Amino acid sequence: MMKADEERELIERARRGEVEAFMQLVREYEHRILQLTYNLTRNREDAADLTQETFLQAFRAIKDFKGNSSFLTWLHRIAVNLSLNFLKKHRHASNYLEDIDGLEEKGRGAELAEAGGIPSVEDSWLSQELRTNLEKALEELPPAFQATFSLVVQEGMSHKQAAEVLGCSENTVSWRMHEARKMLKKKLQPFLSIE
Amino acid sequence: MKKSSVIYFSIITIFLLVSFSEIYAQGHPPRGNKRVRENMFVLRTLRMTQALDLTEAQTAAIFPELNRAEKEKAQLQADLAREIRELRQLINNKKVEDREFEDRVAKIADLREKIRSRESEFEKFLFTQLTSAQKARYIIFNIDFNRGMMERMGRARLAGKENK
Amino acid sequence: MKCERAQKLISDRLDGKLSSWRQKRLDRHLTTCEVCRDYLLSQEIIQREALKTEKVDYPPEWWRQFEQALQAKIIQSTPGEEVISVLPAGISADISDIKGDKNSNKKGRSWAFKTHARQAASLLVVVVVAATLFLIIYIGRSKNEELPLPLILSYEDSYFNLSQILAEDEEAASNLARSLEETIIEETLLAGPEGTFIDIDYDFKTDNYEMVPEILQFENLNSEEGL
Repeated sequence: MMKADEERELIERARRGEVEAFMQLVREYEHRILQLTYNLTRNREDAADLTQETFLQAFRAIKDFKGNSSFLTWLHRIAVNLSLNFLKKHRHASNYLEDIDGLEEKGRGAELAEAGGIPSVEDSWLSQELRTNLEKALEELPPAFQATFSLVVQEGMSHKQAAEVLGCSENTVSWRMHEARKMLKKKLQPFLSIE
Repeated sequence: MKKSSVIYFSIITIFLLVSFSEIYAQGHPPRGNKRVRENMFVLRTLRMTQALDLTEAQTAAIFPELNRAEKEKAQLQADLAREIRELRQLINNKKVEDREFEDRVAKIADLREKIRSRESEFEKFLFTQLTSAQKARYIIFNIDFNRGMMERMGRARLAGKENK
Repeated sequence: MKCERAQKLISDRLDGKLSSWRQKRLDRHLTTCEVCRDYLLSQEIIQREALKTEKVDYPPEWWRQFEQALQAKIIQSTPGEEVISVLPAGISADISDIKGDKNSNKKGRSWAFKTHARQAASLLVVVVVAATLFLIIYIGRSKNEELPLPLILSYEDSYFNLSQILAEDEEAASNLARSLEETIIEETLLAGPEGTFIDIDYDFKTDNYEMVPEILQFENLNSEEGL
C-alpha cells in the first residue's frame, strides 16, 4: 500500500502531465475500482470497461482534484457516477443468468466454506436461491440506492465515507440504506426462511 | 439542571406554543406549508443552539428577537407565496392589463426585499451577541442546514410518489 | 417506539451507526415486538448474503494489457496537449506510433513554457476578476458597513425555493412536516432513559408571550392534537 506522501507526489506529477506517475496510481487502485464497478453492474466486461473509463476521466480531471477528499474517494466518485449512468442506459437481465453459471462453477465446497458450516441440502438450496435472487433484487434497486448499498455493505464504507463518494449528506445515506433494505426484504421474503 | 436541558425544553415549549396557538385560533391543525415553516423554525433553532453552543445569557438575549423576526418573516413569506400563486393565475389570462402585471411584480419585489432586509437585520443583531468563533460556526451551520432541508424535501417527495 | 422508527434504527445498527442510547431504546422495543425481531433477523440474513459477493479479479497479464490500453487512450485523448511520458522502453515506441508524426516534430520541452504561460494568464484573470468584484462590492459602501450575510447565504431564499416546490405537492409538505416533527422529538427527548421529560420550572418571559408550562409530559407530545 502506498504511503500518503508518496501518493501526493505522484498526484502532483500526474497533474503536470506525467502519464507514468498516473499509471502508478492506477496500479494501486485498479483492483478496487474493478470490484466496485463489478458490484454495481454484475458483468465482468462492463466492469472492465467502466474501470478503464474511470481512470481515463480521472486523468483528464486530475488538474481539478484539490485534495479535499482522498484520491481513492475521488476515484470512487467517478466510478460510481459512470456506473450509475451506465445502469440507467443499459440495465438488462443477461447479467443475472451469467452469474448463476458463475456460482455453479465455483462449486459447493466454496459456498459451504463461506457459509461457515455444513448446512442440510435444503438449507444450501435456500441459501443459493436467496443469493441469486438477492443479486437480481440489487440490480432492480433504483441506481442511487443500489450504489449506496454497494458502497456501505459490499465496500464496507461508513455512512460518512459513502456520503463523500456520493456527494450527499450522511442522513441521505442513512435513509437510502433503510429504504433499500425495505425494498430488498419485500422482494426476498419468499426466500427468507426464519426458524 | 443542565444548561442544555433548559435550552432544549424552552425550545420544545416554543414549538408546542406555536402548534397549540394555531389549533386554538383556527380549530384545525395547520396545513402543509405552514407546519413545515414552523417545524423548520423549531429544528433550526434547536440545531443552531447546539452548533453555536449558545450560553443561557445568549439565548435569553437572542430568542426574543429570533421569535419576533420569525413571526414577521413567516407572514411575509406567506404573503409572497400568495402573490406568486395569484400571479400564476394571471399570467395565462389575456384580458389582464400591463398595469396589473406591473403592480403585482412590484409587490413581489417589495416583499422579497422586506424578507431579505428583515433577515439581514436579525443576522446583524445576532452577530452582536456572538463571539468570532460562533459567527464562523453560524455560517457553516446555515449552509449545512439549508442543504439538509433540500435533501429532506427530496426524500419527502419521493416517499409520496412511492406511496401512490 | 413505532415499528417504522425501530426498523430505521435496525438499518443503522447493521451499518454500525447506532449510538449506545439508541441501541438501548431499540433493544427495549425488540423485547416486546416480534415483527421487528423478525425484521432484524431478515436483514441480518440479507446482509450476510450480500457480503458474499463474488470477488472479481484477473491474472497479471490481463492487467498489463489493461494498463497498456489505458495508457494509449490517455495519450490519444489529449491531442494538442503534451503529456510527459516517462515510459519503460518498448511501450514508448507503441505510444509514439499512436500519436503520429504531428507530435514527433515538436521540440524538446517547449510545452513547459506554454504551460507556465497559460497558468500565469489564468492566474492574472482570476486576480483581475477578484479585484473587480472587490471594488464593486466595497466601493460606495461606508467603511464601517459589514457585508450583509444574505449576500453570502440565505435561509429565507432557501426556504422560498423549498416552499414553491411544496406548494404544488401537499402530500410532500405533510411528509416533510411529519419528518421534521419526528426529528425534533427525537433530538429533544434525550432527557431520560424512559423518554420522559424531567419536570421543569422555568421562567422565560418575552414581550410576545407568557410563561411556559411547568411540566412537559411525554404523553402530551405524542398526542395527535398537538402534533
